[in-house]
Amino acid sequence: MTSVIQQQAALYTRIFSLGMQNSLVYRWNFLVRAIAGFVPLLGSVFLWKAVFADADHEAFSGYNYHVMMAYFLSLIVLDALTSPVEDDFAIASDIRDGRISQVLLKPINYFTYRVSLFLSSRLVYAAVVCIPVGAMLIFFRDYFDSIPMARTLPYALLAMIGSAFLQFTITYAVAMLAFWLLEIGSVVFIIFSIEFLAGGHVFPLDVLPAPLYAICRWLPFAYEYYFPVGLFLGRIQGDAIWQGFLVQWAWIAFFYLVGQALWRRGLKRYTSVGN
Amino acid sequence: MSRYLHIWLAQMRYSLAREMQFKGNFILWILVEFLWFALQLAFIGVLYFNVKEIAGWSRWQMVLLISTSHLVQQLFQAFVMINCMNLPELIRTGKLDFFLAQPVSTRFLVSTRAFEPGSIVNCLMALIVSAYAAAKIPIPFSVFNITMYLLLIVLGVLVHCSFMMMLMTLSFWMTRAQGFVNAYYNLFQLARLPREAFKGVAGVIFTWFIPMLLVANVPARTLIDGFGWKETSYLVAITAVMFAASGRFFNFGLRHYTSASS
Repeated sequence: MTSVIQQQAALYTRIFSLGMQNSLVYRWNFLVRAIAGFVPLLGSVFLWKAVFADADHEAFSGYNYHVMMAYFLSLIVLDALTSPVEDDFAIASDIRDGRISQVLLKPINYFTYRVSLFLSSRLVYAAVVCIPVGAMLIFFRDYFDSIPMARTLPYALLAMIGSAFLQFTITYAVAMLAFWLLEIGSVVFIIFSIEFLAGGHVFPLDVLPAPLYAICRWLPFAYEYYFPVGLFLGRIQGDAIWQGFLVQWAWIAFFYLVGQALWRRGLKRYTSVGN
Repeated sequence: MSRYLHIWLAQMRYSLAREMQFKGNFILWILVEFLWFALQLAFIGVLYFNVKEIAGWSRWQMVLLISTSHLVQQLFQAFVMINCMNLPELIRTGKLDFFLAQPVSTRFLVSTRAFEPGSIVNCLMALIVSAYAAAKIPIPFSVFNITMYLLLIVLGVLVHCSFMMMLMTLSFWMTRAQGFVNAYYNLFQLARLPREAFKGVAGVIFTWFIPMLLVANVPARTLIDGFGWKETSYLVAITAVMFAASGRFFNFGLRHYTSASS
């Protein structure tokens, strides 16, 4: 039993390491992407400055300019560490081009295989962008002054791990549609837009009117972005913390099961020719 | 000139026929762009729950700015962007040979080959939202201002066109320029913000050197406040300079093209 587990661990560690080498090929691409990501941040800085120039100090449900900026800066860090980059398209092309046959013929679990690749690419991405992102955090360090980090950071890190898994399981489930659709790009971007809006990537969800905020808190998307960042800023407190974790992991389990069910159904209609 | 128009129309007809083979996909992509547009408007809606003005722009003026920016972006996406995105692949695979062998301008062929009819539908939506916002502001009806608005939008498209072409020309030296495409989507995000909000060096750079803050701001301001000589002449001048520079740079890059596997 132990040796089976060891073998499995060695196998997926190897896949992880291969994934890392593969991702390193695109290090410049990663760097351009990370630096380009600062352009919208620049937009946010100026836009929110203008907004707060007009609003009362506490006009935004208790947000002031500094906390709002801390929110968007934390989102950039969260994205760098947890967001799947093109994993959906890679999975879809594996399915469409028949490359999953190679996995089917080996004692490899495709889900674990993709998780290994996802984690390895996140690690390389984080390593490449740590300098620009770190410089950004140092430059804007004043914005984090009022945040009780010693208390909130452990929760935020835990929620961040959940966020990575939630983002991945959603991505995986969506990519499974490639068994039925020739091109999944449009579906990916439709879901992406909903995740951005209802997940708190465009604005913190607690600036919404109470009924809308309440709805968003039950949807999975809030647990991708708003929940970890809200915990970090200390805006989610008390019972809401453990309730949040519960809902986050319930959604992870849900999307994992959906992904696996779609995989099994998809395999029944999968044909691979000439591989 | 008429020959180029003829070629362009033929390429559009071909693209349209190709798009129509996948009708479901065609409709889904329209929905994607519409959702992103709606997302911007929702964001503005949330902002104006709490404030009355941002950098001197009222709610409906801001909606007009965003829909104008969306209109410029969709026109750009309809006619040019997809072609810019394909350039690195043409260079990498050596398929650019085919374009070089044609007796017309290579830059013209490369930048007009594909056309995205779905974006035209989204242009119409942006126009409807613009018109609605204009009525809400309210703006007095003036044929001159509307004509200028539309002409300035064309200039905005040309600015995007030239700048993105310059970026993609870098793929003559770099094999993978995909990162620039994502970078460009980020620049679009600046274009829909009010110019007045930007201060300091960033304001100067994105107004006078990479004029993202002019492409939608100038047409929207023209519609709201009437025609302004200063900004319009600058936009005309910088568009001309950028268009010429991107052509030069493309030809320069072309000299470094080595083809592949043929």
